Amino acid sequence: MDLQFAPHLVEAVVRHFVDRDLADARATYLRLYNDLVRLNLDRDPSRQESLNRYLFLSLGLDQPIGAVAAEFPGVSQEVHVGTASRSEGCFLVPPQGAVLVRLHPARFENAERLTRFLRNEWRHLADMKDPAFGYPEAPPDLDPPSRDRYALLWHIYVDARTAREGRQPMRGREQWKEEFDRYWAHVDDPGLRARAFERFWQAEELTHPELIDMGRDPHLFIRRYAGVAGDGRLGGRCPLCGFPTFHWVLNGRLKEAVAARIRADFRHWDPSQGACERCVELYEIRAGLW
Amino acid sequence: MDLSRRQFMGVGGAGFLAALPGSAFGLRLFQSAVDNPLAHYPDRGWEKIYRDQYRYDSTFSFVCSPNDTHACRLKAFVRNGVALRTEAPYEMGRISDLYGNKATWNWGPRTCNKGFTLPRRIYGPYRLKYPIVRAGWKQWADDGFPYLTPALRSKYKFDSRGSDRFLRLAWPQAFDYLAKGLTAIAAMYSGPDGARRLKEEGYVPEMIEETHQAGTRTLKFRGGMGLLGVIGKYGMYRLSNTMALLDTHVRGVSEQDALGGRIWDNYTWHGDQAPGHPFVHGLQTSDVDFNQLRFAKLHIQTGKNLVENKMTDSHWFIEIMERGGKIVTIAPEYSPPATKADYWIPTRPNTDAALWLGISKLLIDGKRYDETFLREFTDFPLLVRTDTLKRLKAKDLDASHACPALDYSTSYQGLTKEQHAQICCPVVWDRQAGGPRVIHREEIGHNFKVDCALEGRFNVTLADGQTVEVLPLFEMYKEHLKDYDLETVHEITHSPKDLIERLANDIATIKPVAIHVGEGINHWFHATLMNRAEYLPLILTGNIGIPGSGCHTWAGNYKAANFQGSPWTGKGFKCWIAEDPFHPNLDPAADGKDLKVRGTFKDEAVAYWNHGDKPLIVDTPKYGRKCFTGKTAMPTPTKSIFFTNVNLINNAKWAYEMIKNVDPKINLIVSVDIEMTASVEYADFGLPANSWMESTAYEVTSSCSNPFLQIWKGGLKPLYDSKDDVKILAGVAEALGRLHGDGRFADYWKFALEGREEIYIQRLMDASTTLRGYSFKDIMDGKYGEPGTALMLFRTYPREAFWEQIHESRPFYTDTGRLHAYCDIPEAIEYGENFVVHREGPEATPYLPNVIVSSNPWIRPEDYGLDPNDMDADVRHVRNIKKPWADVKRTQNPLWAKGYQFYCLTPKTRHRVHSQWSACDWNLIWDSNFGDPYRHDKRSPGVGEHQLHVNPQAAKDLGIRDGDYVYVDSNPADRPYVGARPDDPFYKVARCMLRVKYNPAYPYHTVMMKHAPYIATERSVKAHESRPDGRALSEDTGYQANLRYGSQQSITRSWLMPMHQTDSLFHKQKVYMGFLFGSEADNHAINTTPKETLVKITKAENGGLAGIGPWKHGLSGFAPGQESGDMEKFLGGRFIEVDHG
Repeated sequence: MDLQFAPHLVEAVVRHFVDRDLADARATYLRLYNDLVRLNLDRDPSRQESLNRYLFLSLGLDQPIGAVAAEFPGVSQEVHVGTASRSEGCFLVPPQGAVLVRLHPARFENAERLTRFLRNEWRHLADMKDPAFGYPEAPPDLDPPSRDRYALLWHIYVDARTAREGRQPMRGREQWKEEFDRYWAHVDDPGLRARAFERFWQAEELTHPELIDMGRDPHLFIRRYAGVAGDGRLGGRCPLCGFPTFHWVLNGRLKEAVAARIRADFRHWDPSQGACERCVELYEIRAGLW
Repeated sequence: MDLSRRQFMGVGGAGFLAALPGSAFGLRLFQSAVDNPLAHYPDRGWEKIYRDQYRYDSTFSFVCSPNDTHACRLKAFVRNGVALRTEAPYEMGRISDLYGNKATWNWGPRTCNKGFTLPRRIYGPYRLKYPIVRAGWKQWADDGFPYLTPALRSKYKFDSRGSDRFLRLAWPQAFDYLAKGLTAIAAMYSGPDGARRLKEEGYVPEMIEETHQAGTRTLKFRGGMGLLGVIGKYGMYRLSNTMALLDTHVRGVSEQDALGGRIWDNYTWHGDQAPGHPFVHGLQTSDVDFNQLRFAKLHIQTGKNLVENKMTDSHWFIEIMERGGKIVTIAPEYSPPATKADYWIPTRPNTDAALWLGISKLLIDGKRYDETFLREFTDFPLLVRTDTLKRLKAKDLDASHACPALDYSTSYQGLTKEQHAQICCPVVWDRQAGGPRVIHREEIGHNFKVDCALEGRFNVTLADGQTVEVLPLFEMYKEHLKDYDLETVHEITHSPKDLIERLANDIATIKPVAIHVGEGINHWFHATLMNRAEYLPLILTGNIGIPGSGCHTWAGNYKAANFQGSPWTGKGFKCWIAEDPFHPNLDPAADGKDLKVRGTFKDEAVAYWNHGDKPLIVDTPKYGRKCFTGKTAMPTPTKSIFFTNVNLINNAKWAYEMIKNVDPKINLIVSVDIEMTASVEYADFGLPANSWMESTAYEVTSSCSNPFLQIWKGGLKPLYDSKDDVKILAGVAEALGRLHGDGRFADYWKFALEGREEIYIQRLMDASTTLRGYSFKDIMDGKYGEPGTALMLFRTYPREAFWEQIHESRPFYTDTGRLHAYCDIPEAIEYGENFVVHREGPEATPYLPNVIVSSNPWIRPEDYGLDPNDMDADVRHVRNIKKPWADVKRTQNPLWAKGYQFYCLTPKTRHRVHSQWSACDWNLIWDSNFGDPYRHDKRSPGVGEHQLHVNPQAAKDLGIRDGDYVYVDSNPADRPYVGARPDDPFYKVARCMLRVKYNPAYPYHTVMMKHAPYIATERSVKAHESRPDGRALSEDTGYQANLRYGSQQSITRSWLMPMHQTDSLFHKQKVYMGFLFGSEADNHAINTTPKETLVKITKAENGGLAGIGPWKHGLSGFAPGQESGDMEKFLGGRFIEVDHG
């Protein structure tokens, strides 16, 4: 395994720990750092990088990444770890398929949490490298709400499998359920939501197109996992009229002129939220499409 | 906890035994105390409690008088001042007339479930208990009635009545406020300034012109189905006539120029008339006493449900079976009368005209018609010009023709000289003379001696020298009916061909035949054509005017005509409602015949208010702006509505459009009622009336379906601060007099104010052909049976429509004196309805809306250049496109294409009378499959729940389970109201949501929702969503809605049928022996059409408790459409298998 840490990350992590511990003279990192200073290891600026690496490794901060990478040997044997300027995460770098890990220094504070995070990320990468998963060459073009739902579902799919393997996932089932409830709040029936989530938590061998589809159409997800009878339309509240409905018109079927009319009345409405069939008809008339 | 009975018994039993010291102890004690129960029985005194349930201190009789035509005289049993129960009457056989004729004993007993639960309404929690005024209206009054700009309408909450609050008033205060309000409104809209204001408010010029600058003309009064209580209810029209006095003060005009208010129609606004009847025979309606039913040998109910909706009198229909008659039911669904029928002919809704045309074709093609009857009594021999499509008239042949003097027509039927000249004489083809022959309207029956042609094509030379082709109508019909061959009729109606042929054969071979028409027909836009079509087979076979025959309809006790005026008796009904307000007769002993009558009011169809307070005006490509409302029907702007005994707003088609967009422009709404209704919630005043059991004034009623005159007053002291209807009206008039210092107001209501209403009743009887000779005292003394009863003086018992015409050869009330299969008024020719033809509905059709199905060259409708694809509702009203069926069936209604694929039938429920009894708990529990006194499901609006009957397969195909809540939506272009926005809280109030009940009796594309439940209002929805128990019970008014959201009226809209608004139809006046051209309220006026809609049904919520899972009763295995194997076995008769081996 070729595991490479960018020097600026190592330095940033060390400084983060030192800065954090300044207030506490007995803190491990500060004591160690002070000891090293007393040994004049820092008089030579050229040795600062070595000092940082020494501290980084002696504190075992590299271990979670190595361990998680080892859990997924099929992903890549080459891992580069650098600093995240904004979003953290793991990325596959073509053409050789090295893994690029971007982390905030603070992420290293809690090895267990880092491990869980990385495990979640690495499983994403594993999915991407799995031909059966069907990850596309170009990233999918999704509107923000659909992208959020899709991302959420993939996270849950990842962590559910981790949990079933007996490892610690990034988030547990209850945490994901809370998140899921927020995204699928339009489903009135909590029993229906719970049933769908539980079945999804057990899901195996999902594909990327399926996740995309379910992100785009939240009702598809419920149809698939809640076992709704008949044509499986899902009851929820229309974001426009507030009436419960099982008859949704989602962005795929919404004409732009209609969506524009709706947005004129409902500034915060997004087509991905859909609307009930009746409301869409009301706006089709206003759009002259009736 | 949801214990089964078995579980409960088990737990309860164990608990009971455990509580005893020893179970054997009780048993031993009992055995030792009573060795022989027969010889020694414990004290039975306790049984007295149960027997005493039926003890009473006194009784009194009264009339249960809702709008159902029966008017059952009930006996109330009173204990400790409380009416505990009611009982059916058994005295009908004693009721007699002036000449000793007696009613048959078979009339009794008479009542139904509504009569029995009436005390629960009287003592129920929903009574209107004292006068109330809307706070915003009172503020407007207190501010001096400033002109209502849009800003002030908002300030005083005229545009948000549903969220205002009510304040209690004492009666004198209420009367004074009303007097001031009526005066202020009349003044506001009088004179040039008034006209200007109306224009600025957007009313069309035609309506403004109709006010004649009298603000009183903007005041609308409606005595709801006034025959139900002629004095108190129809008295509302007398109040309208009183407004002429007000006009003299407001405008300062002379009494000759003074104009009263407008009086709103009843019967037609309810859509209860068979609007085609005046086109056929000239009478408002053909009906008979119910005991005439049993004489029929072939009894056909079409769109009629005599089982459920004529409960008191349905036994007359049942008696046909006992007498060996044959019963046929025509309806889309397998209805209750269908279960009693020899055969049931299913039809596609809205296509009955095609069915009757097909049957008529079979009769004509088979030469199975009564040629003599056709020649003597019908217009089939009359010649029709092929150029103008008008009947050939004497003046066409001879410009100087003078109609001969006609004695019966003028002296009895009231034909005036001017009218006679205008209608002119028709022409037949004289086969003997070989030329045209002018006849007059009294040449009918045995008075018609001409050997005239029914068939053939002839040329005649007109007075101007031109030659035109003329045909006897019969010949034209043979051509016309080519479009209605059996195969085509089957395709149009979906009726089985063998049953169509069977009915035609039965009509041809059985006599007498009667057709009874219900609102299953009359509530469609093209009911006029269907009614005219129903007559065709009867006309062809001579089934008119003989016992057990005819085409009749009863719905709503509409018949003010029972108090028929005539030159030889006086003005009848009009002497009560239209006595001259400037010269009232104050002599209590005056003969009604001597009363001076002057109707200063003008009648008007409520339908125009219901159409956005405007007439039917369409911008046409060919002719520009065109008004389809005749001058005789033209409404005025509505600025005040004063109504009694009607849930006007609740029962308005398109009710939420009225509330949202129309009523905000109205300055005063007054509802007089006994209970808190939605109409009261959306009114400015709620005035509590005494119930039938509390009335302190004499009331009088009669009926269109029985021969009884009934007078009564209540026997209970009024429970609340309520008044008799007539006292309320008189109180308003008296207050107007006080306000204007004019004693004439009080004089006009003198005997009502003095509590001597019997004087008005006596005058009414004096002046009516049907009652002259009776004295009030004799009737109340029991001279003619039970005190308060007598038989109306009809020509025959049972009353038989057109008996004189057939038996005495008298002219019908048409211009030709004959029964009409053809209509040659200009409007009918222009609209393509000169022949009886089938038209698809303007909305309720899968095909091109309003298309005329015909290729008849003598149907030449005007299409005004309107685009066939234009879906504007007003355009669809008047777009007359003619196509043969082969072309029609390839067209599609865009609404149908959008998924609006269900006809929605809206009949009356047997548990309520229209909206009455909608707050009576027992009736509500019975009324649907979801009645539940415990309200286990807190979503239920009350102890009852409105429901939609749906074909199980149709529901399943929509993913709807039995018991689910669904939305019922219709055309989103204008319903539930124009301009609906999803985020408008009122939209939530207005959209119809209710429960589904699987019902295999309904065909796939037909659903049914009983009409006139108590609608959801802003207050009831707020209550439903905020009360812990979920009841739709308004917080401050106590109004109880029957639906969580919306109502039956969410899916309806106004339709102003052009053929109901003609200025040229010649027909009989309603309440007086005379004729008129054009509109008359309840007679020839807009007959509203709530069924003219298509709906879409979508699932809203699961039917299970609290919305979780399915409604469990639907899964019992016994529910229709979801039968278990055992149930299917049972239904299939397979529980017992016979081993023949």
